[in-house]
Amino acid sequence: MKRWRQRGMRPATESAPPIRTRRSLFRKYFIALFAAVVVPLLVNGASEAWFGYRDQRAQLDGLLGAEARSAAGKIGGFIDGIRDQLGWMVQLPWSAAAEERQRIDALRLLRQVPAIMSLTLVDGTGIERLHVSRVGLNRIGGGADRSGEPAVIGARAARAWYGPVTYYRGSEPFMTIAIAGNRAAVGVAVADINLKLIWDVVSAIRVGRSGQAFVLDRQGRLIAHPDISLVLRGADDASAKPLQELRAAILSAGGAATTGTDATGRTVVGAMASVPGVDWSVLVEQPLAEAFAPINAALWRTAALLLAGAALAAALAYWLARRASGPIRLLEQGVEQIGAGQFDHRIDMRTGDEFEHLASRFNEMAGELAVSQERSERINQLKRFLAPQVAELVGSGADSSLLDSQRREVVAVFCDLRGFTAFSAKAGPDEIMGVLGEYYEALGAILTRYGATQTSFLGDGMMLLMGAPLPCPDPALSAARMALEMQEAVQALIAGWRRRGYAIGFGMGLAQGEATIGRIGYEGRLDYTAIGSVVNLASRLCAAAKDGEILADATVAAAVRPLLAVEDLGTLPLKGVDDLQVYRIRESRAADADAIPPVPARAAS
Amino acid sequence: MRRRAFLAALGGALVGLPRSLPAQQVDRVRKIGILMPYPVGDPEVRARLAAFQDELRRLGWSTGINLRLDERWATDDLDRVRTASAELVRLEPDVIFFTGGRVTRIIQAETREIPTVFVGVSDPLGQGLVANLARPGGNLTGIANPEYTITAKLVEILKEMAPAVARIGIVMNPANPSTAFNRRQFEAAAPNLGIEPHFLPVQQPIDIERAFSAFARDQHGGLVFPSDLTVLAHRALVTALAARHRLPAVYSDRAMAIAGGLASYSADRREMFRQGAAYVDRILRGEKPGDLPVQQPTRYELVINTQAARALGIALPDVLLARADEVIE
Repeated sequence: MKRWRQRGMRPATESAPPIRTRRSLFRKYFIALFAAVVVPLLVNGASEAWFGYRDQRAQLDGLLGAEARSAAGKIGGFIDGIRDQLGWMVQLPWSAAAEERQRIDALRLLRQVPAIMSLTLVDGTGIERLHVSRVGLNRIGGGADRSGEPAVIGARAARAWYGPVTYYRGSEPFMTIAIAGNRAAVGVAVADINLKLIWDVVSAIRVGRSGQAFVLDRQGRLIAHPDISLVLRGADDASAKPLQELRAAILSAGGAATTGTDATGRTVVGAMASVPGVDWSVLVEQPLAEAFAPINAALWRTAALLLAGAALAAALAYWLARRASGPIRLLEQGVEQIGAGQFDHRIDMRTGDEFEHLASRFNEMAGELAVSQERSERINQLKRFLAPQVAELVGSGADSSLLDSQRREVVAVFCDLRGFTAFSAKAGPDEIMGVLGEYYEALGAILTRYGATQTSFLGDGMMLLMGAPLPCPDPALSAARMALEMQEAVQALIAGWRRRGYAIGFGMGLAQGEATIGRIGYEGRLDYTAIGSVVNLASRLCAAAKDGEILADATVAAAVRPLLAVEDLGTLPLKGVDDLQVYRIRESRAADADAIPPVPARAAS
Repeated sequence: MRRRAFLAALGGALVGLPRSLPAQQVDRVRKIGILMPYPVGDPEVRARLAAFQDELRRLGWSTGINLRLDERWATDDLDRVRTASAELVRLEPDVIFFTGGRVTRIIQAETREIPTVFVGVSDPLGQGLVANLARPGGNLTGIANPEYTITAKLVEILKEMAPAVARIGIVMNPANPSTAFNRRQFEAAAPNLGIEPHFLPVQQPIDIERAFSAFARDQHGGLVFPSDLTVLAHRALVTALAARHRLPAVYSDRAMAIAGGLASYSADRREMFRQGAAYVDRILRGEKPGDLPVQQPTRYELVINTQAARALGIALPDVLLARADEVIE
């Protein structure tokens, strides 16, 4: 309470423990800023990844599909090449001279096309005319009737006939191709093809880095594979199972690229195309990891970018949050200092933004608080002699000239107790101070209410001014009424005191006139008072007044006469004053002056 | 080049698969036992082994780094083959690589555990060496010789080159397990070919001399040589004697035509050795020989030595020369 009085403020140290808001503000800013950057980044990254994945997947499908078609084209080319070569053998009709020519052509054909293991030429009637073989014996004019063989019938019906794939000794894949000429007379060429030689073609097919192709016939038997031993294991070997399953998976997926396993158990993506004529399926496969490498790379790239973006966002958010919360912290510290009463503290902020504005506002506020405190102290000082409202008015500086020295028409009011000196001589200090306490308490309330200016305490009396420093509309009447109230209040006290045996009375004197008013004294101990004959006169009147009397000069009497009872007491010889007309003021119609017991005048006490 | 690649891959030099096997299997030094039933350092066989080693190197196996080769040269003496075979098995190699049908039986008698890869064995299925071609099972696989029917083909070619030939002798070592099969094929085809079949068994150089001179006493003779390591080992002698006795002859090995023989019709042996290397590689990388199909030759080459033809007074028809894959002039 002491400091409150000293500072006029609640000090910060006594307020509730300061809440640590800096961190939470920082966190809020950080989270908000971070989220503002990262959320769109994440959404964008995720959608990009998703669409990228779909595009890449579609691209992969397309790519593998194209690879499959290309591979099928190459395998088809192998078969078509053989078919076209065979076509040469069935262009000219058989005649007696044709046999030798045909034999030479057939042998040359074998030399030219390594895949043909043997070649049989059948004439227009279905009779075998020539057979040449790589490992078996050649036959010329064999004469066997081959018109009933499926190859001959098939070729005659459709020009080209492709036999089923057979596995010689359960191992090597063979197939018969029969080609008929454009007329019956040229006959049919029937060739046994060693399909092992498709390896040349199939092993040259590369899909991506390590992808490969393989060929299945209609039944799903392996015809060609870069690992020739898979083919040589025959039609029913279990090692070809995954390849058949891959084909089934692709078929059930409607031809789209599908994931499966290859013969070695790798997970692959496969696509398929068919070879027309022979009705084979050419499948291309690429290891999943390799096929998805671009997709995975894109996903990793996106993830890395997201991570980098998030890191950048975090750094940015940290920086911004620091920027935002730093000044606030500085402001908080500044305000705390100012709050603690250091009104000379100034928040030093050069951020060039609203924070600097805010800081300068705080600084202005601190300045004004300093002014306000100064004023408050001044007002407290003024309240020592001015009525509170006057003190506020004067202290607020609305008219700082009010307290300046000037001559002014004022009413000086003096009052004091009669018989107090005798009382104080007999009574103990407690009694004396108790009486004075009651006395001044009673008077203080009244003179505050009337706005009287108290210039000084005179032990058991005091001097009051009405009409200074603030002018008063009717100072005499106000002063008179105040005096009546004071007299009444003190008389009530006197009644109590008398019961206790204290012979104390109370008299008052009022005078109106011009006086010089202003502050006298020295720094820290200034009084506001009036100097002039009117003061002396009022003092004399007070001294002359008996207990319960209020004496006034002519000016006051004239001013209050219409409203209050004024009794002319004639001229009284007052000390230092020539004969002066003196009036006693009483409540209107009050005629109980006699009821008041005579108390010795102050001069006599 | 494609052809070479093809043949190599027939042996199983395969995309992806072998490379994907655990690296630690490749780390330690692997041992290959090699048994060649030929005189030590026979240049042709040496060249074939060089092709074998080249292929292995291409597949990542280099001697001195991760590979050790233990070679045994045994000639066609079966006792020496047995000794060499036993020695190799004692070395506990990761794979034994060899050639020759008669060697197969000896090695099979020595071990059924160590993976073995052959090159140039006729009809392993018919001889009962493997359960089937597609999945041989056991510890044996390899690259087979052409089928016996090719013997009749040799006769056909001989008849084309020298139509006057009416008596044809088939020259083989009886110790060769396929001799009986070849002989049966040959004799069965003889009537169709319009020739008189003869069998000329040879085991050592002295037999060759004796057999050829006896056979050459009559007119219109000709010789065919199915694949036989004894014949190859004595190729210089064989071709020289055939020339001396003016016997047109068709062989089953390009090396014979190079050595002065009239013609040869066969699969390329060096390529077969490369195929064998590819199988060895797959086995070294963890595959079982029993899972690797026995392979048949796919391409055949006709080699004609025009010098030998001239010496024999044979005028080769252009059609025949046109068919030849190689003409030695």
